[in-house]
Amino acid sequence: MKLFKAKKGIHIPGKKDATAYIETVKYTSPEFVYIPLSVKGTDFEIYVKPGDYVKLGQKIAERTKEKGLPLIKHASVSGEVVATERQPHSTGMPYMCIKIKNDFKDTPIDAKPLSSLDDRKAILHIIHQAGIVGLGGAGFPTELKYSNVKDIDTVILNGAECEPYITADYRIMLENTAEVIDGLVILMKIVDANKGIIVIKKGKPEVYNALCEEVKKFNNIKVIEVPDEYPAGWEKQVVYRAVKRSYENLPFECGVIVNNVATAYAVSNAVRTGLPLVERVVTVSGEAVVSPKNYRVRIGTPAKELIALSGGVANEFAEVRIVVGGPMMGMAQKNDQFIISETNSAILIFDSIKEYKVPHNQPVGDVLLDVLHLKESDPRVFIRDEQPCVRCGSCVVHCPVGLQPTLLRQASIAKNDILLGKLDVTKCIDCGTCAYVCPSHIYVNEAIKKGKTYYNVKNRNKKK
Amino acid sequence: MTKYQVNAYPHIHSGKSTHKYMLDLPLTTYPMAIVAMLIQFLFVTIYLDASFTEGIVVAIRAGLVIFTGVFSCIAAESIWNRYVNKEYNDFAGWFRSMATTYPSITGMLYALSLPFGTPLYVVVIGGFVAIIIGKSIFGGVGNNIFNPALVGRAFVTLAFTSLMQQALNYQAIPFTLNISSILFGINPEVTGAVDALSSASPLTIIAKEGLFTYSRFKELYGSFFRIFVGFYPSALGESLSFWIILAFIFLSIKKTINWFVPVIYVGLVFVMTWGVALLNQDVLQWTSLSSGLSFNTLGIYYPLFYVITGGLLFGAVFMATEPVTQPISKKGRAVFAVYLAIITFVIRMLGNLPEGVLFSILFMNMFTPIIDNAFMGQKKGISIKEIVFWIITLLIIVGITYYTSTQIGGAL
Repeated sequence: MKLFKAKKGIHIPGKKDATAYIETVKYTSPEFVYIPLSVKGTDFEIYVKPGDYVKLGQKIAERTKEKGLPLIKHASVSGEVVATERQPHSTGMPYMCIKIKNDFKDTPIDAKPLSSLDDRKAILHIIHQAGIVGLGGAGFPTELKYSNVKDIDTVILNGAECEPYITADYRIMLENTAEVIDGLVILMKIVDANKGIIVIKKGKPEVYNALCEEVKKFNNIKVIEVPDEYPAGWEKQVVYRAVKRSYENLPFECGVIVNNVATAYAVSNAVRTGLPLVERVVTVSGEAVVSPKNYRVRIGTPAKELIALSGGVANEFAEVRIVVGGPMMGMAQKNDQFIISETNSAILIFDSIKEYKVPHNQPVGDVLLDVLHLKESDPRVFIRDEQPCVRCGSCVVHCPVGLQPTLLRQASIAKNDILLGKLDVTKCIDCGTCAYVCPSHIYVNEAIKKGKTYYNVKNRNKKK
Repeated sequence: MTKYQVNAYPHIHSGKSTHKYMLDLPLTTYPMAIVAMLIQFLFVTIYLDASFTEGIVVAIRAGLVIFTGVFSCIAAESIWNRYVNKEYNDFAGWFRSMATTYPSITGMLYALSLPFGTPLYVVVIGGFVAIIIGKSIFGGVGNNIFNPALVGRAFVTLAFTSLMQQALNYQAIPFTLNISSILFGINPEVTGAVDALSSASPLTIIAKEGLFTYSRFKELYGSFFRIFVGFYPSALGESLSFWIILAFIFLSIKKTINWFVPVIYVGLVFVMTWGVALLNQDVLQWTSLSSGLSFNTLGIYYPLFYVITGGLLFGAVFMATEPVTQPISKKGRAVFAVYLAIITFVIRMLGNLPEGVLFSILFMNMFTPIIDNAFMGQKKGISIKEIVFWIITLLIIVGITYYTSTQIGGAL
């Protein structure tokens, strides 16, 4: 019955060549850094006050268990604390931030590496103290992921990076292969897992060879290649492809923990040097950027400086879109005035989308070609010409979860919560594949997202 | 100063467009119109002993029917969008409106399902009904319940029954450019002996005869080559089996249509008809496998004849696969195709009408929302309900085939 199964994914042109072969540039000298805390700001206990001198990696704020997910924030440069103020964040909300003036000396705290890996509590403690969160995009504290789990036999490192343009994980795996493997070994030690798997995409021979070379020292770690498809990096697909198991909500239900390769690198760094998480790799790419590159930046660096470092926006683009994260699921930003936090893997700048307009006062021949989109045009110009849904079924065929996006969209517009429930709206992973493949250029996923919110609100009310 | 645009994700697009998707249908059907005219010309000159000029006249009449069918649909859509929807007021707007509502595709499919002698006023009425009753009053593209081309064809069939029967009659229609005959279908009385072969479609003849043997088939039509190429009285596009099969391969490779919908539809009709043939060996007198392979072996000519003649191939490839009016999931489309085959078989074999494709597709269009409803939600393997459903369907297929074989056998 393979014929009637939904396809697992769709091949999307990677467009990674612009940054994949350029070495990561270290950028340590923003004049000010803004360490993002949270939207409220009051749930963090701030240990510093304006005027204090802080060292690189010094603990400056902490959220305890009582007030939410426990998390510790550190100064990512050495210098003087200037103020506590609100700054726009890539989620679109103003975050409470601690502003630190850089003295460009990077005086580190005297950190001690962990002497032995035997004590699992000590490793977890150092991970917590280092403030490590999932660097893939979710930002969930890694320490929490590893406490209160049992019967884990496999740790999977997700290096699939299925979104186009982003090469941050690719560069980490290439440049810091040993540290990534070391991080995986440490993570396996914590949960006594006897198997470690690194999942990467097909068609990356350099990374595959480098990882295989490094993995030879260990007999319980292997490298697995997954097809070049979107969303191959989705946790459920990664787990299924790596160990052929499936789960309902979270991977530990089937004895697996999944981490990003960047997280493993940060864990290795924290355990071996004792220094906390103060930097991450960010890809700056997209058609409108003059020189796309990967940067190893301090957390809290204003994005504007990073964009300026890449040559800024090319002159011929009058209107651009700034996207944080991948082009499929990333958020478009209102402007370039936002700060880089732990979860931002890329800043992408694209040309704007042109809405289709009926041409007027043109020769008849031009009109014919224009209306049918047969005219040869600049491939970077993206004309969105929304038309009615003809129920062609390509969203249904390509949905990785096996839903019916177009029916979901109709139910969302009609605000029919019974129908939404029947169509399993909560199973939608917001991957955006339906809108990507839609020949009628409809934002299917946007309507579904609204319907999902509506459904959740309705159901919460019902429970009460 | 650079401006910033904020929009929802995804920020990239595959570059597919409905235009490109829909362009595949004109690519296959427009050449088909020319082939249809050519086949009409060859049919009357080779098989009906018409002169070259008479053949040209028949081809012109066929061309006029197609032209009028397409342009009546475009006119209907233009009038509706201009005066009811108030969509456009200049040439660019008009062209845009036509390019996004695709009346020419509907018109071409509608025109190809008409016989060559259809009076032009009937063609125009049918075209307007197809677009306005079939599509526009439901809210335009994507909202129609029934296939618009079939709505037009069904209206013409039911409202002008005798005219449409006459339109197939190559002996009653003069092979001259007679204005009143072309426009209004006023033909001189038929004189002399009426040859059934040139006045009715094969399925009508067979419906009267019931079961027929291979020698009777040879007596009537000579060989399968003639049937396959389309040299028999039929609607303009429906007889062009070779072209429809080529179009099916093209559209399947380009993934414009799901290949399994026509395959299941035609295949199941074939299997059920073959079942009838197998159960009636005493009447059909087919030979067994041991006595050499021919069209008479195991009665294979019987289902082949049923599948190739009539509108089955045309309906299966162009009408049943219309995306708007078929279920959206692949499983739903399979159910749709299976029941299309069952209904077509029942109408053809047990009903009064020789043709079952038209009404079976319109009938199943009504069930599209129900089928969609049944396959809602996340797809997870095959449920028990589905297995029970398929078992019932299988029983229906076997039961109907058996019942039909006894009915038809008894009639003779």
